[in-house]
Amino acid sequence: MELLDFLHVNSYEGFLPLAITLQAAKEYGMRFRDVEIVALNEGIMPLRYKRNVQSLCVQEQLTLLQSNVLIVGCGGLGGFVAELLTRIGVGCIRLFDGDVFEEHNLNRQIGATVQTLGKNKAQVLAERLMQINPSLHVSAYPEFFSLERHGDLLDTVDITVDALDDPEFKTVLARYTYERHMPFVHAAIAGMTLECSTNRCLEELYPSGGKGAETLLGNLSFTVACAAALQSAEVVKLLLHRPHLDQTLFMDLKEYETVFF
Amino acid sequence: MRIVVKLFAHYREGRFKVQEGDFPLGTKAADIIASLELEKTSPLGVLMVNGKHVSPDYSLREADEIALFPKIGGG
Repeated sequence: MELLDFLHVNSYEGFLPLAITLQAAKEYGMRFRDVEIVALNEGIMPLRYKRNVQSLCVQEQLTLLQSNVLIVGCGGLGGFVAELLTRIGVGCIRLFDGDVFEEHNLNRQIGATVQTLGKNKAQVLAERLMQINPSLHVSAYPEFFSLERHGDLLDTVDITVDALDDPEFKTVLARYTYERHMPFVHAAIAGMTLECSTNRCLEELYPSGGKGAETLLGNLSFTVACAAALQSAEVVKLLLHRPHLDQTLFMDLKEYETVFF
Repeated sequence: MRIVVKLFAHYREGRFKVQEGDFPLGTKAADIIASLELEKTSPLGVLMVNGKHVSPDYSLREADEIALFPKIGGG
């Protein structure tokens, strides 16, 4: 039987279950991911994306699978962004973080568990993501991102996600990508306040060096999850060429106040 | 001259949300930031006058509306 016939015969209500993809990969000597690419090209959606279908078409799901996103920082923002992009179906994710999980990360960082304390954040996240999407290509770099050492990587990805906690490097990375017309999605939080922007420089947000209000107010779980959700939405909109933020979105969750500037 | 000052996020705590005040001619944005001691709370982020980003040495004019946001950098 040809692969396409196999996929049609074995799909379940028009969806392709994991077990059938795995069986096809073995029988036809293909990678799991390539079987899904063939299926999506044939209009068959992997079953795990069943709840995406009214919002994403098969072609868009294929676009996400063939997209490549760089996440710089794997703490609060980076952990949730990596999780959300993996779940929606982004197919290639590169993760950078030189830090290990510490006890004070447990309040908000999705990769932080009692078991992962002391382990590298990028590597822990990569393992977690592979449990979610067998088609995912994930690369973990257990080091801090540096333009000198890793700048070439920016040319190879579709979008760079700013999940850093250092305003100075956020600003440098935003400027670097902006000048090269590389898509860049920024977010930051402090207490119950967050901000998010797409393809914008950050000098106006960070007029001076040094940390911001987070040193006073800390970083709360729901604020970081909310900011990461906005960032993930922006990444998906960029990848699918849908309209995205053209201003900075500033949100205060205390009063549910939203300002664009 | 009359100036409207708007504060955001935790800058409001112990201060106000919106306040109209009378300031001497030649007042700069930096003077208002200093008079409110905002940076004793946390560093300043976005500074806008009438919806446009300006620098702290911007000289305010009658009926200007200045908006002050704290710097947010955590992740």
